[in-house]
Amino acid sequence: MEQADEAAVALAQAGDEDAFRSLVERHSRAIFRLAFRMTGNEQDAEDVVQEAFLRAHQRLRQFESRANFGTWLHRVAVNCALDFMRVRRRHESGREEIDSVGADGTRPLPSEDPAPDRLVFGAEVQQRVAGVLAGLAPKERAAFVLRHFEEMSIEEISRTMGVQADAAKNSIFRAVRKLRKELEPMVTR
Amino acid sequence: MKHIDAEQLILYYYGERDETENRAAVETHLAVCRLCRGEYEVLARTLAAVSSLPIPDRAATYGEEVWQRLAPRLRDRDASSAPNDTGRKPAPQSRWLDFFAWPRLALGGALAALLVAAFLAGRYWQGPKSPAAPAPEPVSAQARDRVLLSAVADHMERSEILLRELENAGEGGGRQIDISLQREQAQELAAGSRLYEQAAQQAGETGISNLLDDLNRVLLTVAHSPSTVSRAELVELRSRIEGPGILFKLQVVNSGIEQRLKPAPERPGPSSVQD
Repeated sequence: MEQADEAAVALAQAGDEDAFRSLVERHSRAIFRLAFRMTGNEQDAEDVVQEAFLRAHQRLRQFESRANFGTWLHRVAVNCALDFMRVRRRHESGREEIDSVGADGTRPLPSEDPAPDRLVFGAEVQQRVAGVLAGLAPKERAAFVLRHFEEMSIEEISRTMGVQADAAKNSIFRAVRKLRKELEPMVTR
Repeated sequence: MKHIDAEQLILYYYGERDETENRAAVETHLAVCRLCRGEYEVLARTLAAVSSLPIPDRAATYGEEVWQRLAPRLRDRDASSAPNDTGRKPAPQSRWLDFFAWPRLALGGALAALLVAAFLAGRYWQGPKSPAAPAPEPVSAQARDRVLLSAVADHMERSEILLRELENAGEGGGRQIDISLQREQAQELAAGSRLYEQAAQQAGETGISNLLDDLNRVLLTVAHSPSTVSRAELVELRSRIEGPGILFKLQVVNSGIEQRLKPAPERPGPSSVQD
């Protein structure tokens, strides 16, 4: 795929629309998976996919031919998703802060804690996972998704997100701590 | 015997490269310590549960569908930058792209203005004078400050990403570097920066207000740069960004804000417990 990408990128950089189309067709599913894991919402993920390819097209001339196009595109998509999550969070938090911020400044997780006897491992665990992920800060979620699902090293994550390695590491730690806190009662039953 | 802390277990689980040397030590410890083995099992089960999260399926033709939606937008963008527009109806944009699209400048400023107005109104509005009229539930000063801090942190983070992008722009590329996107983003951010600075000043956040002032100067420098710059011009632009040490200051102040916005401390894990 890398060789095919290399040739297509060279042509697309010269303005060949079909070449860019082949790149879009080849990478769309992977970018959708990443976007869905980052945003947790199908429609939002579709928007991130569109924006990622728009930005990629606009910045294609900045892309170095010796780099890996897939990696570069992932980086563009991660930043689109982060931008998206920040905007969404700002809107939600602005509303929530004024409407219902708790005395201790914490925000409740989206899903309620069901009684242990009603838990069914499977759908409910997934629902809880989605709830915890939705409650993570954008940086925490992005770093965690890149580590857990995309299997990037902390070094790669820090480069992709443009943050220090320690910041990426701490974001992952925070995300895992929150997931563990919420999921432990379910996974240890 | 020293136990393995929660963070080391996470790095071990993911097989982080810089932890390779410690792997053997962790494995040896896990083989003999029931407590740490139990912790690791819970961690592994938790993360396995996360992996079970389903992803909506996309057909093999999905790439083609993405292209069908994307192509008209690429053509419209090209047409809108050309001197003679054909008058073709623009392709539908996505919801959040609409939010970010033209006029970025006005929107960025308007959002900041709304926030600042809400913040100042909350700070100075004393509520209805008549005792007969029921007063609405006032927003607490703490909640208001959190709204401001959260918005400022967001603004700083976006600015930091933009400036870092400029630092990495054009590496190994051609002679001319297209920074039009960064330029547009700088225009949008600069529009909000001044208003955030004003709100921070009103809130008595002098440190943040001074930093926003410095940031605004840097953003305006980027916003007033040409869309395409030569390598030498880019070096000059970077030196103007790096000159006031703005990236370092942004990191320091933002991390301070994050600390202030942090919720109450969570239950401590099993870190470094001594037997």
